[in-house]
Amino acid sequence: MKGGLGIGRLAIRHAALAAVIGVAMGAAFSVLQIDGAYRDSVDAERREILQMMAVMREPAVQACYNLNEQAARVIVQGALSYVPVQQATLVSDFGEMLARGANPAPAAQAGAWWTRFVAPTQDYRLALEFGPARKRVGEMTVVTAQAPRMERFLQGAWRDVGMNVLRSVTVALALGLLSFLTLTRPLTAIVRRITAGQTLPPNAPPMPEARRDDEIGQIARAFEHHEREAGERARSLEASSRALAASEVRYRRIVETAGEGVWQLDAQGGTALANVALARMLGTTPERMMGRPLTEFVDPGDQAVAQGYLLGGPRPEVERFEMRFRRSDGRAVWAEVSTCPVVDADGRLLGTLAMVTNATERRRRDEQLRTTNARLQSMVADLQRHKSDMAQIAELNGLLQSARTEDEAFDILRAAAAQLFRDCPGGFSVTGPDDEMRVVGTWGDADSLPAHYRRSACWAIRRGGPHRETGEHGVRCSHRAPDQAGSMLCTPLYVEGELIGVLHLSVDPGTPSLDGSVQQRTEVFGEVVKLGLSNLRLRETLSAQALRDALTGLPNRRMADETLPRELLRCLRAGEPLTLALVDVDHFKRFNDTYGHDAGDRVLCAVAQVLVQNLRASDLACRYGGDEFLCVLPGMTAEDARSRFEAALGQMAECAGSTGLPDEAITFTVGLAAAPDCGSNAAALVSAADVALYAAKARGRNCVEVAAAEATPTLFDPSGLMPAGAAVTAFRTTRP
Amino acid sequence: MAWRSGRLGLLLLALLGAVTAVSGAGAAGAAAVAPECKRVVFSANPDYPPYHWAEGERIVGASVALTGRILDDLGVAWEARFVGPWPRVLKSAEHGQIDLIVSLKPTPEREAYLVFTRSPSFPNPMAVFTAKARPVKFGGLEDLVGKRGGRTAGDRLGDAFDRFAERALTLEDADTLGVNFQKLAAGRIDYVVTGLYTGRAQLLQLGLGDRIAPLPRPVNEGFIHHGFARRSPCVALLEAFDERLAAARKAGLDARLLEEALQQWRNRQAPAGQP
Repeated sequence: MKGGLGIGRLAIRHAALAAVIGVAMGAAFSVLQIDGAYRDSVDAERREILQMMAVMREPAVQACYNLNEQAARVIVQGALSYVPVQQATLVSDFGEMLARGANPAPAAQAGAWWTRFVAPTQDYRLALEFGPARKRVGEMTVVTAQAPRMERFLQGAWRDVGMNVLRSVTVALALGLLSFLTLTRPLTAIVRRITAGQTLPPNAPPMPEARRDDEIGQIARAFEHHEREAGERARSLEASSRALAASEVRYRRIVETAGEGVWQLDAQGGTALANVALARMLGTTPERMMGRPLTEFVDPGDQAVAQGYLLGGPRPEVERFEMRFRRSDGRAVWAEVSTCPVVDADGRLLGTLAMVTNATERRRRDEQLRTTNARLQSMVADLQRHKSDMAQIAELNGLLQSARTEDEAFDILRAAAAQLFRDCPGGFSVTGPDDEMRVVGTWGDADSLPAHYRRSACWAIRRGGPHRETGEHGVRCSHRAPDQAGSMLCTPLYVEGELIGVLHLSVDPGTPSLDGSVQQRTEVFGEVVKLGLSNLRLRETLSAQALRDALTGLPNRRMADETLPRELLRCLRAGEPLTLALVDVDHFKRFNDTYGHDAGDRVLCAVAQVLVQNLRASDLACRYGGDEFLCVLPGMTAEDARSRFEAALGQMAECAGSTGLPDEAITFTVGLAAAPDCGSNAAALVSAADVALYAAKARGRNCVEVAAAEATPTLFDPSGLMPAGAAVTAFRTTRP
Repeated sequence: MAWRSGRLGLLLLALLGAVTAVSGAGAAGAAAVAPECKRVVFSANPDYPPYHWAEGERIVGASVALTGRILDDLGVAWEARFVGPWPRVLKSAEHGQIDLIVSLKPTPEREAYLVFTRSPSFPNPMAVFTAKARPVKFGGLEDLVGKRGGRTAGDRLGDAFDRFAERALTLEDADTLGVNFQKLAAGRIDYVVTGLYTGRAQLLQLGLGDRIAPLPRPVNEGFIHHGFARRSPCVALLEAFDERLAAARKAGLDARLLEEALQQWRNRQAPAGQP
């Protein structure tokens, strides 16, 4: 405040301002004054000239009226005697100059600066009119030079301007002095006190200006009031700042010794604070971390996440997330991070504070737990699947057990496989004759297998075990179409070393490859199928063995007992005839005795063959026991049957002496009984046929005898259905 | 080519028409120009009685009477207009504002803008006026030598007289004729040389007719003519005027008109009384 010691900047500024205003106003007043003065001088000259012309008017009129040049000259000379007049002329109304005169031009006029603004001459014209009629007789023209007037005017103007400026400056200086005395000096004292400010002792005497009762006094008092308040506030601030420093030391110690990592980032992502725990977690020291950017400590894979959470805009709340840090040795560290923004009083984001907890170990345990859980779930699913598979397979097993024929079995098998191998289209082939495999059932995409293939085409058969081919790996079975994609599993089914069939499963290229569960399922399925089929075959064999005569291959008596009542009932219902025949080989005992049992067996076979050859396919011929055969011929009358059997007798005779047979005529005797003529039930028919057979035997053998039609009362139940054994037994008992 | 010959014929016809018009105009002479001069405005010295003087806005007198008769005879309308003092009358004619100045003396400088009639309109003899109480014997100019004469300033009295006066006579110039007559009546001069008729008119005006009279022998026989303004179309009337002026003169009309004008002048003076 150097100005405070001198005259005062304020006073100088006031004086300068006043001077400027004064000069400006002086100039403005001068302009107005000069303008007025100029107009006055112009008016004065105009008045003077007009007055002069008015005086000269009458003589000039007379001179022009009379065209008197002499008089005109006198008038012109008179006009020229006026100082400003430079030139005067008198012209008649005929346009002729009557007189003309001029004064020498004033020297100052040429080239004076004011001629640029003011015309150097001024013309005055006076029309001259004569008489009461005001007849125009001429014109008087006076030209005045402006130079004398302008010189007079300019002298006055300069003097006026000078005086005005002088007056203005004087007033301005007076105002400056007044301002200094009344404003600047007391204000300077206050300023000096404000500058001294804090250096003054607290009990400094009050300023003398404070005793004034004007505005300056108010300022001084207000300042003293604020000075006292400021002192108190400064002392309180000092105390709270000390407390704050202590608190900061405390908190810093807490942060530095905390087990959790503490990390503070500024708004640009640089490290503003890092404690020992964090540094240790990252394999470095807090000092080395200071100031370095966030990106150096974060795993490259989590940069975006970290920047999103730690550098994003202001977030209102605490946020938790996990991310990977990159240790100084290059290893990744999983950490749980909770962040909160650090903002200043205006809400501007200063940075982010993050609490970092090492989460690597926990994540590892979590991962283990997750894997175990997944495995368990998968196992449970497998088990459930297995269970459902097993249920289906058990059902399949039951169904297979119930199947009567292989075709039924194949249908069941196909349906079950379509359920079990829903994702794996495939097929099942069984062994056919002559090395051929016959595909008996497919499911899913049926065109993956041909209808037949050679046994050698399948590598599973050749290897004697399951064969798998997955496009790139494994030998390709030639029964697969060459353009077929995906993989195929062929499982051969063997029972006691004999091939029953092959199970083919194919997997589309898009679906997952054959996994263990499918293989497992295949094995179980294969076992069940293999056992079921072998069972079926066994049953068929057993059934055949039970119903057929092992020697001749003809159905046995049980078969006859089953068939006869059924056929009989059917023909009776349909109103058709049915003929029953009993055939007995003549003198069979003699063949056995003479040629041995082998020859006897061959005789029986030969008879059986001839019978079969002479009967229709719908007829039944069975060995009834010993050397007796029973034939059922549905829909055939007794006479027709006789001719057939007679043909058979003829054929038999031709067989005599053929290979393996005794060299002796083989003959047989036939007894026929037709329903309903000879009875409507099996027993009655058999009995009638037996009677006819005996009659034929009695007639000499090698012939056919038909039982007479007679009303044989029904012996047993009207339906004719009775246990076969009972009928036969009854028959036997009646037999001699 | 039919249209071209047609146009040529038209052109020839037009040329013929033009030639005819020109030659007709030449043959018609003044008569053809006459329509351009329907009205003659003339003036004269407003203060030259009895030839002519101003009465209000009109000029009257002997000249006006004579000219009016001639113009009436020619069938042209006319006006005798007062246009101002004598220099103004001359300037008006010079600028063509009037067509004719009647009865003035031809001079070379006036010839520049006026065409004068060959025949004079009036005689304007110069006479010597003497007081009846002091008679002067006048047989020739030599008789005036030794006497004191008076003259109006600016008057020209004929070349011969002017030269003689320069050489031998004692003449006092006065501003007006009236002053000269007063001086003569008072005996301060012996004679006054001026126009015979104008002098008589002045004497009538002054009432000195019984005391002053002109001598019977004139100093010279001057004549005055009509001058047409060269700028006026009425200059075409010059020839006709010449003839009629000559006829009037032969008939003695001019002298008669002058006497009538003097009477008119006197009658006009009577009601006005003596100034």
